[in-house]
Amino acid sequence: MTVETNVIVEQPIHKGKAINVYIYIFALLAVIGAVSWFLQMRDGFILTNLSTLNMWGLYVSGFMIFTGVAAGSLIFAAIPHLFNLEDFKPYTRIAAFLAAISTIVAGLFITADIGNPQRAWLFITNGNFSSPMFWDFIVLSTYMVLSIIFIRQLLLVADKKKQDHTLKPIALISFVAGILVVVTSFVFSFQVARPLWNTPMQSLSFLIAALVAALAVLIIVLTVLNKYGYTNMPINLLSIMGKTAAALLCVELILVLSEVFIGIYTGAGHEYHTIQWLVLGNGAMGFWLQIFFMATAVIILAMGKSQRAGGLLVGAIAAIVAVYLIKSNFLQTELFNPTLDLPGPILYGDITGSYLPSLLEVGLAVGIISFGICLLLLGVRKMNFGVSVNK
Amino acid sequence: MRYGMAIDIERCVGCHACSVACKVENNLPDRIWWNRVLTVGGETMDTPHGKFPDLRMQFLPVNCQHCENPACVKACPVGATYKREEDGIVVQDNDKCIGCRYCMVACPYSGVRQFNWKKPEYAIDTEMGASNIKPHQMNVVGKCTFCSHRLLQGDKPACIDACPSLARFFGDLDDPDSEVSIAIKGRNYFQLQEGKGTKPSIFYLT
Amino acid sequence: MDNKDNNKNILNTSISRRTFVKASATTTVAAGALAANPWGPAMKMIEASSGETLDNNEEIIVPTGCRSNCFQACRLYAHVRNGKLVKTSAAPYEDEIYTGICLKGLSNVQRTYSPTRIKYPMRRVGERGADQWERISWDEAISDIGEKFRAIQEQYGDKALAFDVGSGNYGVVHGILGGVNRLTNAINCTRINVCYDQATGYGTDRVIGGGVWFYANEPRTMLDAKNIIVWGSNPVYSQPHNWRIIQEAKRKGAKVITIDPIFSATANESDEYIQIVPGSDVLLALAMINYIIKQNLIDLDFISKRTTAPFLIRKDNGKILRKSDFEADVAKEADDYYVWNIDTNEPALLNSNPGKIAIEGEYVVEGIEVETAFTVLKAHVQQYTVEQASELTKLSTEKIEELAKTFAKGPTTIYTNYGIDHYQNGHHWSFAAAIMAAITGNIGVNGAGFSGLFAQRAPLNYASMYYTNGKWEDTRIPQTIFHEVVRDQQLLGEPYPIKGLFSMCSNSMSNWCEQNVWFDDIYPNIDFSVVVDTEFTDLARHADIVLPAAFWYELNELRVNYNNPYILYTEKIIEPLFESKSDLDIIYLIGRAMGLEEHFPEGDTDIDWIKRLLDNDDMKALNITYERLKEEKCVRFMGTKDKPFVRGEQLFDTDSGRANLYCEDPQPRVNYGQDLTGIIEQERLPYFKPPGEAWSKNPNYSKYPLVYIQEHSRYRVHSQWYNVPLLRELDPEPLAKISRKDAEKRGIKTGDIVEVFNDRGKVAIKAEVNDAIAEGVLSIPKGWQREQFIEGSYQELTKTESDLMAINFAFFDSLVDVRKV
Repeated sequence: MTVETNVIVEQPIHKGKAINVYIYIFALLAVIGAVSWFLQMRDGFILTNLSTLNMWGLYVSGFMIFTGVAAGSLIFAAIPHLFNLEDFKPYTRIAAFLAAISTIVAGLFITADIGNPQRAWLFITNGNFSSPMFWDFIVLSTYMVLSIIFIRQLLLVADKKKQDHTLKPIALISFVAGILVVVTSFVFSFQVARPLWNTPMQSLSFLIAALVAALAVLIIVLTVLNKYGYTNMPINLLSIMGKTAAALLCVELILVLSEVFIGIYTGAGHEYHTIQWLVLGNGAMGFWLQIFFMATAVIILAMGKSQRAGGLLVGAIAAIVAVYLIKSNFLQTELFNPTLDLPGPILYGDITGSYLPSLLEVGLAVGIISFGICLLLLGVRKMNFGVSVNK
Repeated sequence: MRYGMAIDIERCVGCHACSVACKVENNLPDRIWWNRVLTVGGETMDTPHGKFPDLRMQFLPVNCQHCENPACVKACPVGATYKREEDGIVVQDNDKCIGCRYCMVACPYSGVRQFNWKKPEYAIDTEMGASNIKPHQMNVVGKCTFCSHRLLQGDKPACIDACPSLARFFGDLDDPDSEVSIAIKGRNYFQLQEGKGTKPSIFYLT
Repeated sequence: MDNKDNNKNILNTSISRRTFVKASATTTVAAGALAANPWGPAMKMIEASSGETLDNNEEIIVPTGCRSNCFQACRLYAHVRNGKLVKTSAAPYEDEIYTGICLKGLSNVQRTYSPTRIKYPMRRVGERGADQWERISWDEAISDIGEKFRAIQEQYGDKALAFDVGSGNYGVVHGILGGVNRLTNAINCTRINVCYDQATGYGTDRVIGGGVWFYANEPRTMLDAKNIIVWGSNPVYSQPHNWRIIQEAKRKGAKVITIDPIFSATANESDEYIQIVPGSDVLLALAMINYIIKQNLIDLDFISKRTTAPFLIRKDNGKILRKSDFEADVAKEADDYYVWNIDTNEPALLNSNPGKIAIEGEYVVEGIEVETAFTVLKAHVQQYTVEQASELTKLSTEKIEELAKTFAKGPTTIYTNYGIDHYQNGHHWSFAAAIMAAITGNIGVNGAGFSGLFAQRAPLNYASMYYTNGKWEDTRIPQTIFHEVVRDQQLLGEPYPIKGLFSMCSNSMSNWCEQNVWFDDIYPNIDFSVVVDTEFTDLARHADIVLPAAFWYELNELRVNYNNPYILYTEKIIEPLFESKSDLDIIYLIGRAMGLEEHFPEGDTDIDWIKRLLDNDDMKALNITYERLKEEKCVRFMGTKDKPFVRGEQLFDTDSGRANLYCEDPQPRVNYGQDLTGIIEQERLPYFKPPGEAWSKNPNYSKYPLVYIQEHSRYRVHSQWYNVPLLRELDPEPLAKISRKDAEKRGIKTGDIVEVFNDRGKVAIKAEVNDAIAEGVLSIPKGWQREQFIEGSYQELTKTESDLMAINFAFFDSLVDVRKV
């Protein structure tokens, strides 16, 4: 249908049955996750590779990443409507939808991480207002509500049932909420017991990671959906997203390297030993992989290759891996180097000073992410993310 | 009333009697220790630092410090850990704990909060210790309770009575005539992680 | 300060809501304590908050004790609920200074209900050491044992059956002091002579008498010491309550000096730590004596009145000049000693109370040339110069002189146990140390003398326990040569078959030297071995029949004067677990199986024996009766809190009542016929000879340059408590502690798996680089069993060779090397 509009019209080129196959595959993987969770609940967290010293690992990393994706997606969905970036407006629906999915995934990650999820209702009845984790609960709940409202509004606008300018309020609220992902950094940065976390840098780092993660995931999703014809986002727009992510990663790299140099300079003391652990000790593998993936992502996303879809995809994957490594190194460096580390009786699970998630943890994480992908694909199949009509 | 402890570092010889008394009294599951004696010296337990023969080692028994300004109480999202008004004990409610381990993250005294990573296992097949302790649960956090079950009966915590070097003191910090206040009076002392602002209720006398 | 300590110890008894048992009233001590509640207003009973309940399961608290050979004899409360022991806590002694408990005593619940506890009699199936067992009934086990024991004695002679009893259960009814003696006397078997921890007492006995065990003061006397020299002991680990007393003395102003080859936990707490070359302690003591005499730091008055210094030694035969040298038919009690009266310039008999007598001098009495004992001593120690001592002990000459001056000033207590004893030259050190104490007036006075293991005989009715049919002949097979006798079935060329071995309260395979002799010499040559124990120790795992022993809380017992002046009545708390039986019951069963019903009648119990042991005039005169002990549980035997027991305060336990500065007639501790030519005369005074192997000039040193110490750990007493689960959580595995320099030389880091080895054996073990260990020393804490090592055992490396007079295992007198594997 060709109508004179002031909105770019994309015709879906190809909608096949392939999506159904993938929905089944990811649903199966989600079942593996459910089984892992059942085992964990039955036999205890002993099935993870966590320990009394290093009590947060893959699940919390997953939570951080996907909270970030949710926040960044809300921001990405809001900005075009706030600043009238017409080119990007058609793609805010999928971003808002992604925000909703990510919120669910983040919620599942944190549910997987707590020992007694059946008591989670206490968050509502017994919530402790001075707890940053309670604030996380508020933030995540807000993201859920906002993303549902936002996506609904965007769909109404896409079906010409509402005017474009009516999006401004929800966009503004979503934008601010997205920026407030900084609140989720307070869980870490407000803890005086954890000096490496207890800095204002974390607020910035979390915001950056959120934006990078969201951009990377969006690039991946859009590239794939483009290929299968569910969307048709032009490469130049995707590459702007990529370049933005690259720029943000550069800022993060500055933060990371500053931390390393500051720690090394004194040559002795707790911070020095911590950074030594990170750069030369048990944390070295994680650290150097992080640097590698960050650099790779920056290079690919910033340079010419990103003009091709394949390059963008690789760059985005590198970026999301880099974000995972940033988060896991962030956790493990501090947890393996507590300020009170005098030798004493062995702590439960504390055998070596390094952490790799156990098979069960990986299984559960893969399951949760697969569930999210499953929901995403169901949404893509059901809703129309590719066409935007304005009579 | 504000319960607190004083531990005389000059007397403590790091013998672990207090740790074992706590373990038995509270029937702690295998590999769970609510009181641990740390070595201030070399790189492993019971080794000194320095160059032979100019060597030195000291010992720090560390359990939950029942802080005045506890980081864990602020951190717990569901209020499963809280500081009791009437006596200052930081309580861990096993039945409310959701097992998120945030209190363990927040606590600067690494190791005093222990997580039951599996169904509680016990080396012997009969129970040890007091009969009125709270049962241990899987996937929740546990820690020193200042033996509140013993305080109910007018006894002191098990670790206090067990010390062969008479290095441990307990009582009401608000009462100048209590055993702990008398122990601290006139002595130099330090507290662990003082700069963190948690205001622990355990005083290490030097 | 005292008030606070009082509070703390009385509080140990505060049990408000629970019940004191047993069939008698509460102890007098407890009643007093409950009346005086020191908590008063400061400690309010708090209200129950949600989830908290009062202890409404009735808990019964029974006073009892811990009965290991740790020298502390803690009095404990056993808390029992529903017929099970649930925990232990310290019970008070009347003198609160002895009140306490340690991590081992606190873990006794896990020892009682140990998951690996031996439940039933077991018989070996398969090869010895294959650790395969079948369960048998008591009847079968006992009849088999009785039959085989009788057969061995019939075929090879009474002595072919050997009994090996150790320190696993200390009391007077069960264990080494108890019913087993009745059996061994009745069947006239070989009683293997205990050869550990004998040298210290053997040396002091030459000076102050008292035999091997009775040389120390009551620990409380340390509070009056100005100097406490911890020499050859590590009380912070091994005697935490004695350490508390030393710590208290330190707070009162005493100076605590530790002399040790390694920087022990006690050295860490002392005012001064002095490093010494292992096994050179005797040279230090001799040089100090030399210096003290030269600098006239002696206590002339004490020497004159309380030592044998003025006695006259014959130059011709080294004997002391006595009345009986000149008069015939002088009974021993009527004999007297000659001294030299300075005023009259004539010899005089001591009992004639001559005025001023000579301490030094050479004289002639009726043509016999004599010199005073002090002169002999002085001349003998001339050769031990401070310079020579400094060179070999590695203490500076200034330090040696300072130490001597400090010692002499006094009152000085030497706190020792068996660290120096564990070298072949050990008894010379304690001999010299006792002399040094005597010449400076630092023994037999308050705050001075020896401390460490304090024991005292009580006049119990032992004869009734031990005497049966008069059959027993003295046996002299010491543990040190047991393996040779079994290997050759000969003792010094004469036939001496040994075919059967019965072990009780003993883990000899793990705790005697040179473990491989059990594989090479002993097991191939004996037909039948029986072990009684609560756990499958090294020894039990290699037996033919294992019998389950009841643990301490499952029997009634009396503990007498062990590190404190009290007699402790410890009652049975719980029934013996599974099919275990008490030591006494097992002895009785075997006695009957060997046809000795009359000496081991049915129905005789440990309580019967406690009554019998207390039933004599001596104990009645002291008002220590069974009724009183049943009521009070803990009764003081001697001394008072204000006047604690000082050894030799009036007289020393020697023939003359004086401290011997010279040993006229040294005898080997055990005489099994060993060749002592040329040795006896030398032993009249302490002399320096290097350790048997652990010396830099020893030929083995070039191959094995590390002295091998097996420090005693706080987690075990010898091998007791070796597999208590919670203790293993604190102390998970054996470690070879290596000095930093030695580790660097060999490229060893903490956590590496290494092999410690010498010609006698090897062990694969984890290494720990430990700055407390001196270069040239390696330490593996004692008590681990073979199954706990990666391979081999730490006990393979020690040596059975012993000094021919002391007849004592020299555990530390051994050289090893270590390498990374």
